[in-house]
Amino acid sequence: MSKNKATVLLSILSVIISVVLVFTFLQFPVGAKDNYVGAIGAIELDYDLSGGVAYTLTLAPDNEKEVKDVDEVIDVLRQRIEALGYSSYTIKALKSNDPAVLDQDIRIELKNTDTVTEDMLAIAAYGELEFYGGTDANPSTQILKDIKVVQDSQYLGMIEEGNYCISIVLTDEGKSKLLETINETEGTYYLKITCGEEFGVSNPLFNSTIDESVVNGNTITISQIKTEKGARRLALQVKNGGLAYKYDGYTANDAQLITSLYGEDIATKCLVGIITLVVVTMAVLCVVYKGLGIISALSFLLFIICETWLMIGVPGIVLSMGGVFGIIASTVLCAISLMSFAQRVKDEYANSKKTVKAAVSKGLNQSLVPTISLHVVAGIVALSMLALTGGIVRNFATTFGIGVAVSLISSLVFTRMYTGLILPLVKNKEKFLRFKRNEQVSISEEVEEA
Amino acid sequence: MNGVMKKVKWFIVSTLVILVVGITLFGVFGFNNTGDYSSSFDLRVTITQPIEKAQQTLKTTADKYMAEKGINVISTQTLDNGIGYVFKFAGDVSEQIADLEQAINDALSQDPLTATVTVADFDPNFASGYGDNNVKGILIAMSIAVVLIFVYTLIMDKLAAAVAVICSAILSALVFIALMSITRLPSIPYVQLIALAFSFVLGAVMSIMTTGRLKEAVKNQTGKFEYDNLAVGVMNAEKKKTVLALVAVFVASVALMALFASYTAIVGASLLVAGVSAVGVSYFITPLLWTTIKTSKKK
Repeated sequence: MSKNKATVLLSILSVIISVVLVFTFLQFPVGAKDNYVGAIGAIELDYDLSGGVAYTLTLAPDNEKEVKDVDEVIDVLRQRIEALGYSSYTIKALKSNDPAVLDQDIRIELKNTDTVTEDMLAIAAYGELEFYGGTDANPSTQILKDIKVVQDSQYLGMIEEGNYCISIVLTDEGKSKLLETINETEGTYYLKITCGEEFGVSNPLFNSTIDESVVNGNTITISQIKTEKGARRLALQVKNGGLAYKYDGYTANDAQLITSLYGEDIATKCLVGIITLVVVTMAVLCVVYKGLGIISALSFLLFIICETWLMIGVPGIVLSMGGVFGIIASTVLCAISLMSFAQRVKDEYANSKKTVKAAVSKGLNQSLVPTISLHVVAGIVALSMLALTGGIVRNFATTFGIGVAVSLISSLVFTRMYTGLILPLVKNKEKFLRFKRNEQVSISEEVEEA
Repeated sequence: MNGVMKKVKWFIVSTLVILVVGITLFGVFGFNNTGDYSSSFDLRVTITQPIEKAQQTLKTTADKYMAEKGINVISTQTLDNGIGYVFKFAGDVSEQIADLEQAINDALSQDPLTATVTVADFDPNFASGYGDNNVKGILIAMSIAVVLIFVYTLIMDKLAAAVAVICSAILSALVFIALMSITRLPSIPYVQLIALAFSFVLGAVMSIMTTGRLKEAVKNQTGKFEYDNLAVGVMNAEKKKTVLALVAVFVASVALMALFASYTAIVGASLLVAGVSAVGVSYFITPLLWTTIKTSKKK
């Protein structure tokens, strides 16, 4: 590439990167009401980084069944919390300091979402599933009593915007009794499902017409549910019913805003930590590898900018401490990959009689397969964890996986780009790149000259 | 195999000792989970009115009281923008905080602005936290990753490299567990699982870079050569990269540990232990295994 062309392209690239960097961090008001918060400000944070709401569940005075093992209750609550998509939360059993108080309270802390009130009702409400059927639009005749009706219930997905569906798998007995009841009734048949007081007659879980055609094998598919969260809640409640014990303390009035258990400014501290890592790594690369280090450092900078913007670009990412760990892990991986690239190019010149240009070209080609292998291996681990884990660990797998992909592009594309743009501008390439021949190669060159 | 063995002998002996002691300790005691995920003591204090001055008085009085009594507060959470706080302690401090409620009420009554505010809720509790339930998922994920990485390395670099990479990755993870058990560093369950996975993946990544170098070194040989000498040469060439990888891990860990937040320090410490295990094992063990397999195949 000619010097002039390289200068122009490098200048344009530098301006673009500077503008993007500024917009990554900058925050300013837009119009009367809105604010531009930058990429950093736009990253959605989970409970452990931004705080959330706390509920303290206490056994209701009219609870009938004695809680023999609070661990079982906690297990049920955890499954329900995770089924509704909460990855970062804490749950604790609290034993009062007062020895006269025997019952244990349960404190749940989780992210303050738009639907947390409805979710807590689904998680902690007491009651058993009851089925009502008849020709009334609001049937009051209880059916399917004293038998296990529901085998399983799953959230299926979105049919279209505002239309989500679930499946309910009935037991053989449940299915045959339901069909028997439907067939015995003339006219349109309404089925209503309730669960406890919160989801009782006036606010049932489900109330709609049903006929034989809806039952496919043992499965009933229910659609026309307006929101994804609503569909997930319905699937959870139909599958599990209510809690076996009656607790108070899970309604909207009982919610208390709470800061993160890691400290109020933990998100800022994590950001400072990551920025420190990036700056120090770039400095080390420049100091150790000189010219190649500058190329690697600029590629590294592009890597971190891309990863930051992908945290808001990729839908569904809610950053937790696990996600921060994933960003740091992929940053370390990228740094190692770039160091490896710089070392290979340097070694290629040191151990051969090639010119700088030929050595750089050979070094870039030679680093292709090792770089790809490194990232394939890391990607395999990220994908396996993404498929098989949940919660905060899955958040790590997501951000680490994104980081691996960006690191691969950074190591293969950005390094070549900067090498092509910067080297034409340098007069004394050997000095700039700090290239030295090994002694044996130098001696053989001297012998040849002699 | 004398050259490589001379270089790695001390590492093998120390790793074996660490593994035996560490895994035994892990079997008996497990990780040293922090209070939020094992057992702790917490105190919830709220006031009757959300007056900012009263909130400040509550916090400063409580902090001063704890400092005077020498009570170590692990962390503090703020409730409802300051109407209350949840203080967390490692052990039972119920006797030491017996007078705290009165102290707060006295402090509030001294200021005319807060004279009508009193402590609404003073609730000390023994708290039992629960660990992460992803252990099974992580183990299955890593098992699948082991198989896939083995197959990939077998295709790219043949059997010796594949065995060396997998063994190094698994050994990294085991050394991480052993070191965390020996050092009894405070741990957060999900952080340990993530750090375990990180140790595994970094071990695999560093090993595959080393085996790639070994393969290139073999290709560049003309005439007879000894795998042992080749491996020693590659180890010398890889020294700088290994040191720089350690520097990258060290910088990341220190950046977190220096933030003066106990939980980021735990993450940083776990990251450091995971990184050191992975880098050490991949540098010393990978060439040894590769050389052993290549030499035995040659015979």
